[in-house]
Amino acid sequence: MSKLGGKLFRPLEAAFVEGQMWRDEDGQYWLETVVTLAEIVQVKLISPAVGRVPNLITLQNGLRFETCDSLPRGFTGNLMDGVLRWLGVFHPVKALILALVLVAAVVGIRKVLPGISDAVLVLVPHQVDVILGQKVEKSVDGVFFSPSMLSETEQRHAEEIFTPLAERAFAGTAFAGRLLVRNSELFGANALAMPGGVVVVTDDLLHLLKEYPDELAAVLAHEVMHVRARHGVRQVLRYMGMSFMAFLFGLDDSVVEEFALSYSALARAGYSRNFEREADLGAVELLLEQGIDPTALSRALARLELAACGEAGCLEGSWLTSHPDFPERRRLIQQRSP
Amino acid sequence: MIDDSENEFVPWRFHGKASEYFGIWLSNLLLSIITLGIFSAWAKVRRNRYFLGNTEIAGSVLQYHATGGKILIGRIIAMAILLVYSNIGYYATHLYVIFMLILAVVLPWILDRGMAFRCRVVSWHNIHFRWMGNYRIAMKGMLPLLIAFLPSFLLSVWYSAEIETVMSEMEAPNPSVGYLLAAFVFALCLYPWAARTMAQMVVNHIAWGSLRLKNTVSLQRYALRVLVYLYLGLGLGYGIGVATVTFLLIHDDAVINGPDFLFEWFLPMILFFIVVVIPLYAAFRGMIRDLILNSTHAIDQQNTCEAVYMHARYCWRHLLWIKVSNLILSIVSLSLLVPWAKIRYERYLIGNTATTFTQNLESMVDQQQEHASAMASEYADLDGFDFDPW
Repeated sequence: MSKLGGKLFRPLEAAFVEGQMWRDEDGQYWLETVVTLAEIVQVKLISPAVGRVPNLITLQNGLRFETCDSLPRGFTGNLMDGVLRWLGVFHPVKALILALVLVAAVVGIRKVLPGISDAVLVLVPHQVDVILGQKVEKSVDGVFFSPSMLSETEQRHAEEIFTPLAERAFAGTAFAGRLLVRNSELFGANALAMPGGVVVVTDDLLHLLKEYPDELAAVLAHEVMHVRARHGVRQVLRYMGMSFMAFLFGLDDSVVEEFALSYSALARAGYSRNFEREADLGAVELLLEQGIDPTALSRALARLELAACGEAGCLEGSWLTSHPDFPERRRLIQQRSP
Repeated sequence: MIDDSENEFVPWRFHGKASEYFGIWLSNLLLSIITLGIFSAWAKVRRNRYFLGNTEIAGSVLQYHATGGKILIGRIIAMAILLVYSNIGYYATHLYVIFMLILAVVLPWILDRGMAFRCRVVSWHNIHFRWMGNYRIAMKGMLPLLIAFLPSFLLSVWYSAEIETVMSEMEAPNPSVGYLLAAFVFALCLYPWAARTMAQMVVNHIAWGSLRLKNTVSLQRYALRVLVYLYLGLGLGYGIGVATVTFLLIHDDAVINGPDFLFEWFLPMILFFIVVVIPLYAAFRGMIRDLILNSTHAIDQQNTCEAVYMHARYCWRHLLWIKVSNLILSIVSLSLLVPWAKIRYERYLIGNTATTFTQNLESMVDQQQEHASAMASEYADLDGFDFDPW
């Protein structure tokens, strides 16, 4: 077997002598220096081979042999070293394998991670949704929303539509439905659900759907189903899973970390779109149970699109957006409505 | 290694090659993915071994001795602490304050043990670097930083607790923002002194054999660098970014009324901060490293004479250009050029560093130390708490 040339250091000393090391066919390690004859030595540790970085071989008696020669195949007797060495040299086949593994990893994270976090959801009590909802309400109410400018009657009318929907949807859960009517310049005509049962509806939305109680019921049913399906907590769990993965991978490289975090944000948007579809489908069921025509949801969406984007309609949704685009949602609702 | 001639000026050399590191980086990434991140601890060892092992000083390279197993255990414990720390404030503000106060007491221990680990796992010429500090020394070094940032921290916690109450009762905004600004200015004023104290504490307690590093940078020079590169440079870049985003969000109706304005704006905003703020920060760190290196020498404690002088010759324009172009190319190439970018940056840093030796170091003998903590070192990495002196 070929001999490795290098420097032999005595324990804890900077001084060294030139020497050679090799491994014979029986697996014995030999050492020879300019001042000593060849002798069998016990190897305690061989540093992992990384590129052409000088290798450090620590011997049983504390001696260290540093060599700039690359270790011959089989020198360490460690299978992993061989694998790493093989991976470290570029080859188109390896690039293809890597590409496949990356695709599998991305698909795995997209498909498996939500499954794992949804399985964990079973262990999270409903009370957590309620606490989370209270926290969210505290942090957004007053910041994005101001008190409603609508009359008591108009607000009570919305509540009368909301209450039976919430009671029906939250039966058998720890959630308690509560409707907040608020004014918001930022959100315009909009409604949003908070974990635990609070649904916020804006003055603009109530004004827009004033003449169409069925459509208001449909929008509220959609929000109620977000709560029922625990989308808030599921989002948090998925985010925690993504952050955990990003942490693990990201530590290898700061730029990779940026990518991992950006990817996790994009994936969150993807999850969010799925949640919207789920809420739409849930709302269709709930509306049917309440004896309301579910296509009201489709009409409400059309009215919202018109108000937000004018006659031309809103741009097609992209992979960056948190909601699927309006036509897609309307199509889905129409398909599911009897 | 060093011959007997006096005052030998030795430029450092970096032998790393992008093509070679690409394979290492790729295999690290691949195995990290396959093992769901577990291999990343071993990947760190391979990466550090590559960069240190290609750094040649006076004919000998640096060797990295840490093992992946220890780093993994340290990383898991550190991550658990970080998870508690980042989530606790969400549930109870007072618990968060208590946790942070405990952390302030624990941080010097983390610094001390982490430095011991970082020093112990690196050797040059068969002699390991050694950390000479202890908890008391670390606390003394960190105290100015704690003093500088404690008022801002306590006020911001109090302010956010107040804001929640005020908002929920729908009252006028809280007037305490003035105090918060004052505390922030106080922190900015104290930061140069605090950061220099910390940097000197770290450098002055690193030893190699009987050599002990000594830093003599003056407060005026340190403060000037902080003022120019951090406050003016980075502050200006960051300020322009925040102001632009705020302006657009306030004045562009289309953005506000769109249903997904956060997501529509997310990528451009992130890109801006990556391409502008990160390079500016790197330039600042580089110029601080330049200052610290140029004012550091090593004293041989046996002969009580100066044995080594450090030199660096960095230019902020070069640092900035390398970082900006590296980031753009890394993003455009979907991160495939990351290995090339890292090698390029490291080559600049190492290639512009040098040492003057005034004595032969071959008779040096190692003096080993115990009780270093991989967990402390990993926590420091995770939390972005960077205690490299530069």
